[in-house]
Amino acid sequence: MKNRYWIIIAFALTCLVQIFAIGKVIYAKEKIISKGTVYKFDLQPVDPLDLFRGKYIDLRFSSTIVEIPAEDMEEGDYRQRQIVFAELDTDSLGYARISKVQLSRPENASDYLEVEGRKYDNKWHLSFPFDRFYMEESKAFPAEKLYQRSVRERNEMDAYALIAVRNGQAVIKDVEIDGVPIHEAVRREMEKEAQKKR
Amino acid sequence: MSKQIVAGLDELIREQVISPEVAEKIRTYYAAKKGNPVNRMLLAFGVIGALLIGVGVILLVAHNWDQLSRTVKTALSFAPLLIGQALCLFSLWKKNDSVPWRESSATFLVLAIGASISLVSQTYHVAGTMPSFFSSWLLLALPVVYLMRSSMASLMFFLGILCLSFCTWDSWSSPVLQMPFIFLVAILPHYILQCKRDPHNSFTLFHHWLVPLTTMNVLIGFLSVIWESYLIAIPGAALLSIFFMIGQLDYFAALKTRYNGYKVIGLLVSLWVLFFYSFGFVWEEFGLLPAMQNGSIPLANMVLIGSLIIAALLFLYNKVRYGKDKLHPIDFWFIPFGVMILLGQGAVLVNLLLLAIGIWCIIEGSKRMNLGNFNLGLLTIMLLVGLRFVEYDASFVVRGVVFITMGICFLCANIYITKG
Repeated sequence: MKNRYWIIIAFALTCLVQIFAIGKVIYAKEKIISKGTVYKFDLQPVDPLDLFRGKYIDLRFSSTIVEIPAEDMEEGDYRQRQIVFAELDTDSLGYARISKVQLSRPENASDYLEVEGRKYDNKWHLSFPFDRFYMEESKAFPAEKLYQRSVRERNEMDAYALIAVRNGQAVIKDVEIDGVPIHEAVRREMEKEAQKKR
Repeated sequence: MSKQIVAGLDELIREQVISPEVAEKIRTYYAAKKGNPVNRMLLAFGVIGALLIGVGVILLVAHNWDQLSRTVKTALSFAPLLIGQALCLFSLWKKNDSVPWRESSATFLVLAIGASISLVSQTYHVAGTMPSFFSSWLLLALPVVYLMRSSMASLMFFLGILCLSFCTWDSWSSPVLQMPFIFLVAILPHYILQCKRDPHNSFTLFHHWLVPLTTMNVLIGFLSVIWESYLIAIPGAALLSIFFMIGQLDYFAALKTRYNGYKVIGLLVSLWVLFFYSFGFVWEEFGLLPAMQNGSIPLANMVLIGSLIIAALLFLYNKVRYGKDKLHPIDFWFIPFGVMILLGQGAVLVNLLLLAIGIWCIIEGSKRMNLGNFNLGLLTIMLLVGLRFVEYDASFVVRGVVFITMGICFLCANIYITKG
């Protein structure tokens, strides 16, 4: 009988750990969203499938390769994956740009990302910790088609992700195509298609 | 079998072979062994129901409801988890003795943990590979298996490790490769406890297949650093011999062959490996390990390789000491095979080893009138001859005559041994 109470206490603790583990992720993400700085990241979406979490847009960024200045060449292991810190800046078009990559956490930089990087061919190859944007299953495919059309018709890419950044951590706030949130753009597109059919 | 014994009890009492008291004891024994049919039905329906609902919740979650706001989604993330936890607490508190309640609620909670992680991942677009997703899921589900004493949750846990190890096979970074190994070590005590506590439970019997499969996959995955060399075969062979010897322990030997995954996997995969290495091209394509030439095999891998070989030798020592007469070539094939691997260029020697195994099985089978062993030996030799004929260029007539002769020999030998 006594043993049973211990089991129940242990189980209650397990429940708290489970809630805490999930709650901690939510809390950290909410804090980044509410207090972080938002950057526009240039991207190239496609729609793969995750069996458990559904359809998502695979975000592939164009700013993941950074030249290593000659004076930093000795830093870090060559070809080994390692945690690095990428300082953020914006270019003339307002898109996010990596201004510097270093091995220690920057002290004066206003915003930076903690990312996995690999040194190769005198360049840093970075893997951003935000590469998936989950969408409702019926909308992921039209979203990809919409993106492809925007590239084909204008011959320039106007799809970007809005990323909130705080203390090296980041959360995707939204993905926009031509300044319109992707959910909204897809909804309009689907309505147009439906009208055409009628 | 038990039905026939119980049906024959009246006759045995009438003929005064056994007393009515003994007959009653036999009836009680078989009734207890069989378990309460109502309870078993409840257990089956409960677990299937919980599985279906849990999987349904995960699929609903995978739809990604974008009509819901982030706050609603966040609140919903906890819903499956809290429901599962409440059901488990109720089972522990009020229905502690009811196996169906414990099994069903634990099954649902394990799936609910996955659903909750998925919901949070979607809501905040958390980047994450399949290995990291499975690792978080398994980590949070591990205490549930132990505290709920649930065989079904344990079965799902092993399945999770198997999936995780499949996902990590293509990622060569060692921290990811170590996760399935750590989870395997963490869950094995529960499996041992379960074998002691509930040996005849259907879920326990399923474990005897899933555990060796998972162990094999995890350990081979962990050794992937030497995957591209034929050296991988040494710890692999030791592991297969261990499986085969475990399958012959009294506990597993008492089970029907279809429940003895250790013995079947140990035997069949060993033969498969030997046949694979009997081809000349394998020895030409695989080389010695590049990492070994640089002397840079990670310590953890070296420890694992050493442990597997030592464990296999200890099992063998134990078997030689206490069951010499039951010794089988699969118990110790890893020793000559390991030597051949270290010598390099051993295709001919592996063929001889297979031939020796085949002949041993035929002699042993005919000596003990064991048709299974006898046929295994015959099949091994026939397959060996067949494969060599396929590999080496010979005319169709010669091949045809050899195969027909082998077939006739097989039939005659079987007729001879059955007439005995």
